[in-house]
Amino acid sequence: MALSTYTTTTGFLLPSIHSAPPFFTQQPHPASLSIATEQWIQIILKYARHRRLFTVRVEDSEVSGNDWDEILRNERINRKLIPSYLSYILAQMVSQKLAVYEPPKQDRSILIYWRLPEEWAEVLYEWVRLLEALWFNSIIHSQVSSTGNLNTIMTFYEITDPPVESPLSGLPIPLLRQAITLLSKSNRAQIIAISEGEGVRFFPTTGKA
Amino acid sequence: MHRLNGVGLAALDRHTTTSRSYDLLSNSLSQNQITHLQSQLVSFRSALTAFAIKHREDILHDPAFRHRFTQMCSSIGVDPLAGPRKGGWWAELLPSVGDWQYELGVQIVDVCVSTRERNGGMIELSELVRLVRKLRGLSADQDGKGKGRINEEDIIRSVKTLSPLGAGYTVVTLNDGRKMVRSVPKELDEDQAIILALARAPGKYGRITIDELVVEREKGGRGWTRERARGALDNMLLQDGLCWVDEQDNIHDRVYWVTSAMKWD
Repeated sequence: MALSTYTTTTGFLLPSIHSAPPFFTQQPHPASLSIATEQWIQIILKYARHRRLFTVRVEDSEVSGNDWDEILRNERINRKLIPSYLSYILAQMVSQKLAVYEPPKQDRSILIYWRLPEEWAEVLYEWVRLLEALWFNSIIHSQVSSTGNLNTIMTFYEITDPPVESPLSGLPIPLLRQAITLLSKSNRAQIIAISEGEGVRFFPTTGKA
Repeated sequence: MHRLNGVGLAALDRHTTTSRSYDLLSNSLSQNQITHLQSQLVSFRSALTAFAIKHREDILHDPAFRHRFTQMCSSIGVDPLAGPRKGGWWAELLPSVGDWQYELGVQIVDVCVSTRERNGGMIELSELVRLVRKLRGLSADQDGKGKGRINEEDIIRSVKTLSPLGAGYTVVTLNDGRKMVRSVPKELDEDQAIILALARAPGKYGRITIDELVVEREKGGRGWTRERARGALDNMLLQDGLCWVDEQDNIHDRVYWVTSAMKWD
């Protein structure tokens, strides 16, 4: 049969290489291995973005019934990604800084950077600024200065689990923490202790830091 | 005018003195530079040697690394093959290799090349030992005594020292523990052609198994053993990267996929 693309039930378009049986075996030839691995990394990143998934574990190819079934298995050709190969792919992603091992100090599970921490930092900051603008327009809060200088304080939970779905919904805490750390380097945010645990204070930009 | 330089004969005199001291200065400067350059060359050579010794394993075993190393050497005008000693740099880097080993290497290449026609570049180690002994004028079972005796270990070691030649000489251990020596071979291009033709046959879409290849050769009246077929496919897989392997087939341990014959929509 000729190899063709396939659209999964969640609407993800799999490239035709995903229907090639050898794609699911770790290739012994270095050049072939690097081609296949690069393809796998792209598929994993795109699918993670598509489904807003942040974690992939070596077991996910072995045991069905998880978020990665459509990707790490291909029931149409009865193949699944061999776990040792998946483990190799995860290591490659970590070494290419497209993921980190999470929790650290193990190599069975990664936190996927389908957005880099730097990008998450910008997304977070833009989102907070949007919120500030909305608040500013609806209620003229006593603390609001004429410049819209809010010094907004939010809990981690308010960011990752807002009442209205946001670009940051479900963001894992380690990634949120990295984003805030990056923002604090340009004096745009600061982690603070609040009564409910940890929170973050956002500062207005005073030009590029 | 140039009062300070004096006038008349005195000026001429002074000019000579000045030019002489300039010469002296210039001489000592170039002398300094030469000494400096020499010391730089010495430290450069020792750095290069240290590098080569430190990365000896990589140079010997990693073709990509070796390639980069020779590239680096040639870009700075050092030929690693030519050197102050007989045998050149590689001989310094491969202290284990004596002339004896070289001689054996040549004999191995001789046997491998002359038997390639019938084995496609895969020869069983015991057979190789037998033929090399014959070449050395020894009886086939003679390995314990006599001048120039050799055994399987010698051959394996010698094949390893052939690897820097980059011609693909390797010892392959089969599943049943038997060892074979593979020489990668121009002749295998014919194998590749045979496999490619089969992979492109109607309905195959690049998928090939050892069994299919054996059956196909049988039909052509030039039977291949399973080992021969497997060797040909493995060469394409491991050496040339022309195949991908699938190890999850229901029936076959290994299914080979010739990428150039796969059909993509």
